[in-house]
Amino acid sequence: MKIYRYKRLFLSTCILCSLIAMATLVSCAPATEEVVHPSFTKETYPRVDGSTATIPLSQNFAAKLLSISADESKKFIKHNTTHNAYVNLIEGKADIIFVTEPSAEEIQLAKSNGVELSVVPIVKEAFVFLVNTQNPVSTLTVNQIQDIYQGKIKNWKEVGGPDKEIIAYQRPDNSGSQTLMQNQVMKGLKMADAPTEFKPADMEGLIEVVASYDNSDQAIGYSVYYYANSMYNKETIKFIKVNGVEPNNKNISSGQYPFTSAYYAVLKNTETANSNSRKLLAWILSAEGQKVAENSGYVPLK
Amino acid sequence: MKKAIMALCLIFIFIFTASACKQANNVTPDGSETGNLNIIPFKDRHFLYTNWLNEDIRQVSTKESGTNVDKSYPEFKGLKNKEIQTKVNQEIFDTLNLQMKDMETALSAEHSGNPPSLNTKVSGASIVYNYNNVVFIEYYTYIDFTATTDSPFSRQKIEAAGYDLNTGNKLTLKDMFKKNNTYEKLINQYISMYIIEHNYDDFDSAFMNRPFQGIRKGQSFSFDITGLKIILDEKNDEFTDPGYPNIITVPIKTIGDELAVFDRYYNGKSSLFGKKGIRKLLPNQVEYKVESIVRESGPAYSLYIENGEFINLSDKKLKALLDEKTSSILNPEEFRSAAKAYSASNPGEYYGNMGHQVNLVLNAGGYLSMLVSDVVYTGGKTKEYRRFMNYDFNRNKEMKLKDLFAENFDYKSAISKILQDRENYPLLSDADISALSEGTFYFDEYGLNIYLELPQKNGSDNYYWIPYEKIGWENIILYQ
Repeated sequence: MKIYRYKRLFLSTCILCSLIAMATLVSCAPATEEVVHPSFTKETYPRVDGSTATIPLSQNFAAKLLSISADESKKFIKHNTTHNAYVNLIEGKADIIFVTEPSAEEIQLAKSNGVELSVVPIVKEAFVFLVNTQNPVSTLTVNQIQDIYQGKIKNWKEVGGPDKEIIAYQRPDNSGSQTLMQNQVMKGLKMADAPTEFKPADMEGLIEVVASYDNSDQAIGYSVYYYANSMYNKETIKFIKVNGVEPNNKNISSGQYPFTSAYYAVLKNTETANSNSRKLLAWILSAEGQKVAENSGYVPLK
Repeated sequence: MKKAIMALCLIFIFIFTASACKQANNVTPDGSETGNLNIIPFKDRHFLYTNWLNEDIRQVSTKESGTNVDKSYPEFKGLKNKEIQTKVNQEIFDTLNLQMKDMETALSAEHSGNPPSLNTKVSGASIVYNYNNVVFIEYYTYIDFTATTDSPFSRQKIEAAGYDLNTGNKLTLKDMFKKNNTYEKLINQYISMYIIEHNYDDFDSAFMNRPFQGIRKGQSFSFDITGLKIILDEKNDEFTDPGYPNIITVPIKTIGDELAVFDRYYNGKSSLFGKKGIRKLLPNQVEYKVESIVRESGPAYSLYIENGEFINLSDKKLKALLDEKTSSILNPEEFRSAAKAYSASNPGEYYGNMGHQVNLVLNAGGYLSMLVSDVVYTGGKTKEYRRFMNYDFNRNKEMKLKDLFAENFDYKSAISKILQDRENYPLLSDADISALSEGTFYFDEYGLNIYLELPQKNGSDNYYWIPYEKIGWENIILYQ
């Protein structure tokens, strides 16, 4: 009986201790958040730079952390496009940049300047394929997409669609989207020649240029999810499922969608744990930072 | 009796009310309040009527405290209602001044503490659309200045306003479209496609700093016969400011069926002006699209062969005819081989050139006029194979010269007289004039070019320009 009583007392004590421990942990959580919420002024805010696609993200981070208006943050934050941002970081003109992953050229540039880069994903991004909503084809496999863009599959009927020629639109050669297509989707496979069209040029008369996606019922094109999702009219343009997976926030966030990538925060490895850049990065990765990213139209990491 | 009087009163009240309602519905000629506006389908609309307005251009050049100031604006006359005419003219003048003042204020604010020194201030207004009782004015402002910052040293701005000349009221975007039209969606959709077309949605775009947010309330816009021009200004801040007026034109062919502006303010009966205006031809739906170009240029020879096809043409037989008429009859492979062989046996000598071009002289108002030219130059001689094609989509037939003129009009005599009366040109004999053919001509909105097969001349010397104003506009079928 005594033993039983002690047993009960022991159990009760254990439960109580567990509860106290849990409560302590729970109460610690917001405290941790408070620790990562850095206190910046415009003077102490890290010098940021980045890709065009991360401008709204960067502006909203600054607006939140500096408690400034959207208009003020637009004036405060300037991005100089991906490559220039890398150059600025390497040359010490920027402290942290929000960009796509570094190219071989940028890695080499860093190396030759004796700079080691710390590359940390901050939001997810994806590469999406577009067709007209009237096109009955809704899903393609990775192989089918590669075959279409190599010119091996030429008719929609070969992928379950109508007997119509596929017009596989590409992007201009020097564009970021075309580079992503080659790196993320084609992975070294040679792309077929892009459809072209003639357009008037000022001095040269008609010149041949890469034809742009026209959303006809034969067309397939591509874009990055951030722009495509927030800009295109879903009544006329639909996203192709890849391997049966729809490109949406959930599937991109989980990485289930095959062509998932990210925008990264890149900083020098030598930045100390206490540096303003590291503090900013830690906050971006916190629940609060990720919420700001999501509210800005980006896909959070989790 | 009382009942009869009551009944009579009720009948009078009914008639009076109905009549008042009818009058209210006729306040504007469009009847838009009741949605009874009769709108011609765009595919059937081939022309508009020019407003019979005389336009005086006022130009002012002055110097204000070291700054060169140039101002140019139209002042129009010809509206019967002088009150409305004065109102619109005054608004043009005031808007131009206000736009310059706003730009100066903004510039001052941007350079707070160090206001820039202005070198030149240029402002101008011009009428860009003047048909069917509506005018659109575009205002352009430019300042260049000296500043100590690294910011750009000039600013440009464009604004526009459209007026209903029945009332002098400014038009909104909504006024341009049919009642209950989802025009915002249509415009946004077009701009999204424009963004894809120009690769503005690239992740490193230099043209946009975030996705397109849609047109704004009070969106700036202008209008002319090419289409609806969406003026991207400070409200559309997702677009990077390029430092010059940024405009996306939604083509008239894209929105033609949704527009009400051609009919809403014009009923075709009463004229707001002293005279009825002449027709302004609208672009046809059909287009010629270049599909391939062979372009080679070297020390021994050069080639330029342009081939294409007609699009937006549902009549397959007609499409085949027009495509056939515009295709090249030249053989570039043979020419290239001959040129290479010549070059091998005559190093450093030029063999010749070959070219095929399609010139669409007019593609509007339901008329198509073109000159297809195949030219070969070898051995110091030029051979030109020219084909003229004139087609009337309204009557669905190929046009002869006589079809360009009103019935019973003696066009041959009129043309002969014009050709023989020309000053500073060699006189043409009656025999020369007799070479006038029914098929060797092309025409545009202002006149026709006839080709006379004269043995003593060749090539471009044989083309003769006949302006419609000398024939009389009333005798030209386009303006009947």
